[in-house]
Formats: sequence, structure tokens, C-alpha cells
Amino acid sequence: MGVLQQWMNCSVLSWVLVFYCLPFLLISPVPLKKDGATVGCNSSCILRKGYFDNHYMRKCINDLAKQASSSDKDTVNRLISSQLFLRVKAKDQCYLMKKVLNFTLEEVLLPESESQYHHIQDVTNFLIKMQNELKACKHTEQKPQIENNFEKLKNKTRELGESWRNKAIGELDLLFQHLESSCSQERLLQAKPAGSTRKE
Amino acid sequence: MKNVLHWQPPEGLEDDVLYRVKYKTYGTKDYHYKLECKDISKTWCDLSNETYDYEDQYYAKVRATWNYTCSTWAETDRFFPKIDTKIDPPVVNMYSGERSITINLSGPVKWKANPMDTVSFHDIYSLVQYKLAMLNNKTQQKVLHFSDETVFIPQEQVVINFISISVKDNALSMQKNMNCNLQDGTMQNIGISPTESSLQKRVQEEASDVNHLGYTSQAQQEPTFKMQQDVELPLQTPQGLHCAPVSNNESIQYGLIMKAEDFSSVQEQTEQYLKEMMPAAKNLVLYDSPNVLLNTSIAELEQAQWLHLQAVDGSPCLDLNNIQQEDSEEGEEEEYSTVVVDWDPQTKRLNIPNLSHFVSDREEEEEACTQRDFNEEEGLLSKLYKRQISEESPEDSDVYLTQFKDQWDLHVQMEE
Repeated sequence: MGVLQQWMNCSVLSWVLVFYCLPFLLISPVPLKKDGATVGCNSSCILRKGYFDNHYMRKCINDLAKQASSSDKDTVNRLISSQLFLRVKAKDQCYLMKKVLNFTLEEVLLPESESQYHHIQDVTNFLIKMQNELKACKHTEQKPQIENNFEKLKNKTRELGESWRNKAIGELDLLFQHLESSCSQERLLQAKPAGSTRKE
Repeated sequence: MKNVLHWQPPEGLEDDVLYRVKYKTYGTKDYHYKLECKDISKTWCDLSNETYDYEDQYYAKVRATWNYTCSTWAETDRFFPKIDTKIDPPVVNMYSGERSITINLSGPVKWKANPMDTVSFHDIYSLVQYKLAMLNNKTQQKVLHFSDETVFIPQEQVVINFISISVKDNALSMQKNMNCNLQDGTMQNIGISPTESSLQKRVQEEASDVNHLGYTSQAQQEPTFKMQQDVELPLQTPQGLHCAPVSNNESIQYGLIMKAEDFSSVQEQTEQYLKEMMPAAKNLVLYDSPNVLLNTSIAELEQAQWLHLQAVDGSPCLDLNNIQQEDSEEGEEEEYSTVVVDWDPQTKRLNIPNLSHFVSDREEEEEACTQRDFNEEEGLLSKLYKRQISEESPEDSDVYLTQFKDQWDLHVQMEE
């Protein structure tokens, strides 16, 4: 009987403890489930601020894109669009952009480096540096979705034929902007303010 | 952002020509009519609302109709608001007080389609900085040197107060430097303490939430003074302000305070400072009209230099050439005393030990000027006063405060 009473007392005490501790556990700032895939933890998917503070290269990239886009008469097809990021979480967007960067370098810029465009060699070398910095960047958990979206981009390039290369150069400004918004350390720490854009 | 499409009318056909404007987002299928710009005679069309997302890219096209004949569409190049936006320099206004110069810099402001849009100019263009230089017309010397250190991030409005400090003697014949570094945070501490070797001003972040204006004058062998002011800065975003070394070989020294003003106060002015336009249309393919005259004229339209467009690049420069300089008051009998003035706008309590010590004859003569400055709200103190108790009506008279206001320029009193 004494043992039973002692057990009952312990049990009541335990419930009281649980009752009082539960709210604290629920609102605890320490995550119960370790989320190693948060933006801040994916440290290999970060590009240094210096890349985006480089006014000269930024201007070269924008000028190059302007040159190429002025001869791109196809205003309907767009390579880097919202479709590319469809259902891809923010923490995986840098990895996705890394894939787009690699693809653009290998398929367009390196073969075209002797082309008529101004500064294309400078831009290529600059983007290669970024590529190297993102070498260790890996996806977290959404590989099928990322691969699916990336595959759609590649399919689109096949549909467009040779003209897609010029289009890709014309979208270098978009590529750079998205690398900045997805991979730059500063941007990762601060979410884009609400109400900044209004997609149609 | 404010995106306005401009075009030139066909030469010789400026009257009775009507225009239609269409726009589209890059990567979408269809162009859409801008209804407000359908059959218009003006040669511009505001597409700010339609090109609102500054991270998207757009096309616009325009068609001329005349006498039931119309041209084909003349199309712009791809327009990227974030990159193609032209940023104008800030508008500069200056006011001179008895011993201070106040400079208002109204920087560019993001165009907002609705009041819910909280994105500021700085959120979009975090790299844009203004460099500041000031030239004294009288001496042709640069009061504030143009350097990497004279840089500040454009706020919606920045107020710079230059305080002329009448200091005499050998101490001031030496090169003086002043640095001011205003970092993010809402409470700043500003101190000016010139010594024989240097005049340094620093704005430091202050963790405490003390909200008072204090003044300290100290007597030492060297002509030294110290001024401290806690200025409440309603910064909208964490920003950094850097002010320049101020040096002068004459016996004039300037204190410098930079602060951000409320965005709302300049909202109306600033809309015009940020203008973006559609890029020039080149190699346009135009019209097949039976009307030869129209064909020729629209060919002019086709070759027209459409717009003035500049990409955002680097930092706009600002050179202030009209800085007035207050002469040092030579021969002035500088009365020396050690007094601490402590004014707390929260309690509106002013503690001035032995206030009468400050009231020399000369100061009484100056009283009218000082008062005028306050009436015109040009003086430094009135600015600070306004900021710190802005929730109260200016008519709210306070004996202590008025007393202090009348004596606010005590800080120029220096010992020989």
C-alpha cells in the first residue's frame, strides 16, 4: 500500500511537472527538431558581399545583358523566371542558381568567350570565381523539385534552338540579381520586405 | 518606381496625331493596352503602376494614328527598373543661423503605388552613397573635403548643421580635423572636443536611453571645450552616416551634426527626384501606311531619340558651393566659466547652475539675433528641440526651456 501511495505521489508530481513545463517547452526558442537546413546553416551556399559590391563588374554584366537583349526579339520566352523557382524553398534557391550559373558558363559563356560582345571575357572570369565559391553548395531536401524545374529550363533552351544562347546572355543581369538575392550573405539574413513586389 | 514612357512626335505631324500605348512583362505572352494612354495626344505615358515590380523586366510600345491611318508599333528595348532607373542628385537647401548653417538634403524616394508599400529607396539601392564636399566661397577653401570618408547613405532627408565655433589664438592656426560617424541606432551621442592638436567630433552609438540635451564647458590651460548632445534620430532603416574631416586654416571651426528627418515631411517634394524612363528604341520596324507624309513623319518617330535614360551607377556627387561662413568675432571678451547645463525634454526641466554667469552684456546684445534664429527655426537648438518633443505643440511654453533657448549659443564662449 505504501509503495502504491508513493507511486501515486510520484505520478501526481510528474504530471504537475509536465503540466508546468509543457508551455515552456512549446514556446522555447531552442528548436525541438534540429533544422540543419535553415538558411543560416547552409554555409557553403553563400557568396561574399564583395562580389555584389563590385561596381565595375556589375556594370559590365548589365551592359553585356543590355547588348544581347536588344537583339533578342523573343519577348515571350524567358529563361530565369518565377517558374524556375516554383515550389523551391528559399534555402535551396542558391543551389538552384548555382546549377543555372554552371549551365550558363559551360553552355554559353565559355564557348562564346571570343564573341563580339564587350567584356564577355571579364564577365566569364568573374562568374567562374563565383562558381568556384559555390562548389560545395548542396541542396537540402528538395532535390526532385529542383531537378524538375532545372530540367524544364533546359527543355526550353532546346525548344528555342540556337537563339537561347543570346537570350541567356541577355539575362545575365537577371542571373546576377538572383545570385545576389539567393546567395548573398546579407540577403539571406534579411527577408525581402513585404509589399516590395507585386506579381501579376 | 516612377516609370514614364516618352516619345517624340512625328515631324511635321505634331497636330492631330493620337497615340496608343501597350506594355508587357518580359516572359508573358500578351501586350496590354494602357487604357489611360489610349488615343492620347500627349507624348508621354506614365507606366509606374504597370511596371511596379522593380525586379521584373518590361517592354512598352506606342503607335501613332493620324487621319484614320496608323503606324506599326514602335517598341522599346527591354526595361529593367532596378538597373535602368536614373537617380537624380539630392535637392540641397541651406539656411544660415547666427552661428550655424543648416543644410537640408532631400534624397530620392521610392515611388509608392499604395501606402502599404514599405520598401524604401535604400532597401533597393543599398550601395548608393552620396559624397559630400563643401567650399567656402570667401576663402575658396574646402571646408569639407571630398573623400571616401565624406560619404553618407541617402536618406529621405538628411539635415546637416554646421556650427561655427569662434575660437582664437594659436591653437586654431593648426590644422584641425573633425570626424563624425553616425551609425545605425536611434539614439546618438555627439561630442565635440577641440584640443590644440585636433578637433574631433564623433557620433557614437549609445546604448542607454537617456534623452537629454547637455552642455559642458570646461576650463583648462588649453582652449578646450566640450559639447555633448543626445540627438534622437528617427532612422527608418539601419543606416550609416559618415561625415567628413573638417579642416580650416583660419580661426573658424565648424561643428557638424547630420541627422535624418522624417520621411513624411519631404514626401511631396521628393517624388520628382526619382525619375525613370523607358530606354531608347532602336532599329524600330514601323508602319506600312499608304500615306507618304505619314510614312515620312513616322519614320522620324522611328528614329527618334526617345528618352533620357541613365543607369544607376556609382554615387552621385554633391558639391555645395554656397556655404556661408560666419566670421569669428575678434576682440570679443571671452568670459570663462565652468557650467553644466542639463535639459531633459521629457521632464522639461532645465538645470543651469548660476545661469546669471552666462549673461554677459554682449550676450544680451545678441539676444535679438538669437531669438530671430529661433523664430525662423534655423538654429541648431531649435531643431533639436523640435525633434525631441515633437509630440507637443510648439506653443507649449516652458519657462525653463525658453530661458535655455535664449542662452543656447553659450557654447561659443571660449577662453583665450
